Amino acid sequence: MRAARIPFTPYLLILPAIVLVFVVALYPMAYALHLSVHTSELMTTGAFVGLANYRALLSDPGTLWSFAASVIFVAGSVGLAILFGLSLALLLNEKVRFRTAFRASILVPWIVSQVVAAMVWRWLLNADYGPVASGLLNLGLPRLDPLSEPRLAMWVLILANVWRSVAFPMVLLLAALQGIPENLYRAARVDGIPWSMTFRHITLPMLRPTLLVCVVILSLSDFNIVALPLVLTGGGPLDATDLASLRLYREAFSDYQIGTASALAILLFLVNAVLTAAYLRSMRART
Amino acid sequence: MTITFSVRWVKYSLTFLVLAGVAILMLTPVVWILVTSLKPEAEIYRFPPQWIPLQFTLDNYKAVLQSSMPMYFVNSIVVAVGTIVLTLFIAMHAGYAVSRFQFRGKNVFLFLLMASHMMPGVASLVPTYLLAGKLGLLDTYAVLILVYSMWQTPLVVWLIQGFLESVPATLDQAAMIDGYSRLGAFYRVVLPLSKPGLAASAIVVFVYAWNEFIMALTLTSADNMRLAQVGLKYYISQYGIQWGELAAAVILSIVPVLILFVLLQRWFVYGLTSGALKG
Repeated sequence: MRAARIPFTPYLLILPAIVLVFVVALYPMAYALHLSVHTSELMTTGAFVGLANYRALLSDPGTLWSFAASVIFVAGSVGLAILFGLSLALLLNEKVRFRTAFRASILVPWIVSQVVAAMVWRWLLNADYGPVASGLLNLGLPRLDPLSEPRLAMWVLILANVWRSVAFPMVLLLAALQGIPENLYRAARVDGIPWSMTFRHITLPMLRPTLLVCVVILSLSDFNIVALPLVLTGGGPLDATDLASLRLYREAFSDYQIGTASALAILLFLVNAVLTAAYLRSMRART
Repeated sequence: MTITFSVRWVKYSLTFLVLAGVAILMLTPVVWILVTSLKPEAEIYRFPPQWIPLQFTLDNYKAVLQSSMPMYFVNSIVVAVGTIVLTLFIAMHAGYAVSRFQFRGKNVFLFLLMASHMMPGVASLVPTYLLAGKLGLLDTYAVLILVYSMWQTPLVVWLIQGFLESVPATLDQAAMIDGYSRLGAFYRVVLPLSKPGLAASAIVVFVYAWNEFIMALTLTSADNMRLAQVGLKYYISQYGIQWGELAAAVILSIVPVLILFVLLQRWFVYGLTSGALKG
């Protein structure tokens, strides 16, 4: 009698989770697919138009640029976050005084919201009253308004993003460093092998799986970022920082182009799916 | 001997100095906002700017407390608490099923959870908005709580599952022999032993719900339903940029998360990174 009941219990237990995931995640995605192949007239779905929305999107240089901008932003952010994160993890792995305090300070930007990060940097870089502008003047350099220079704005965006996200790879890599068995290094030390060699042949290979996880997770979150660019640059100046994710937001909620916005959402979803598949593979490689 | 000693000393000092420098640099932006929030209006618009205010004032904080910000903070707390309750309820049951049962479709379930967690918010923004509109759920706490719970449930399932697995299954068995039902054993025996897991999960969910912006911006438009982060954004456009007040509002919005961080740093870091490491 009991045996018949047992297989039933786990399904009951996971039912709420399934309902939530289906209703709030998968169904909307299917709905987006539906919207992407229809016209939209002020929030009502119109006729079926096949791939017209996609064609319109892909023949628009603005969209193509926004994907290029996303690639630049993601590559810059992820590259720098990993580089700094790894360096900081290596330094924090040494026994230094105030190590915990240093670590905590580096973690603080990680817990503030993207909106706050954007505002903090806007005010810091303010050309009229900000300390960065004043510091540059003191150094005899010209007054700088990086957020109004198309070429610099992207760097500011990347910098602000690295500032708020560097703690994530740092924490993961530090944990991974501490998991490398000490005897690997001891052998190298006995043989008098220089640091650069140990780093290349012991540390890096041991960190590889974690590095991979960091790259994928950071890429995913950077690729889908909206709040930070929306508040920091608004996509400008001159579309210089008009990331694909931000463009999707504006296409839908400033221009009310639901059809093309949904097509863009599906394209973003595909990129996410590829990144997720990469993530799952890297997880499997890790275990 | 002396040479190796001094090499080590140089290395130590360099490590220390670089770390100290980075720590200061990372905190500088936040400190600058804090300094600004304590300056009177006239001093904020002085060039070159002062790092130590000539005159301290709490006027900016008073102004923020008299604005709509406190209402937005309350909204954020309501949504965060609602999200914590719903997410933990759903995730602890799913986590228990995954940790204690072998059942058909378990791997599919775990894969779907993982996939839905990885599928980030911006792509579902448009359909979620339209569906919420059709269901008359725009401008409600319910829709934000539902959407936030959906984004956090997968992560919390993994988190809680790890803690549940550290509780031996023989305890459930013993409790069931004592006359508890399956669920009774879970609620009365296993859950109390997994409190750290629930706490870590609650922190993660709180920080997410407190900091989330784009869903909150999209799914609410009424002023009295605004969340804190959206309120900060509107502070810019509504009153022109009043940097002093904005800085005070920003500082107030960081305080709850910062307090949690200082008190529970270990769980904080554990919770926010564990999703990346469990598979």
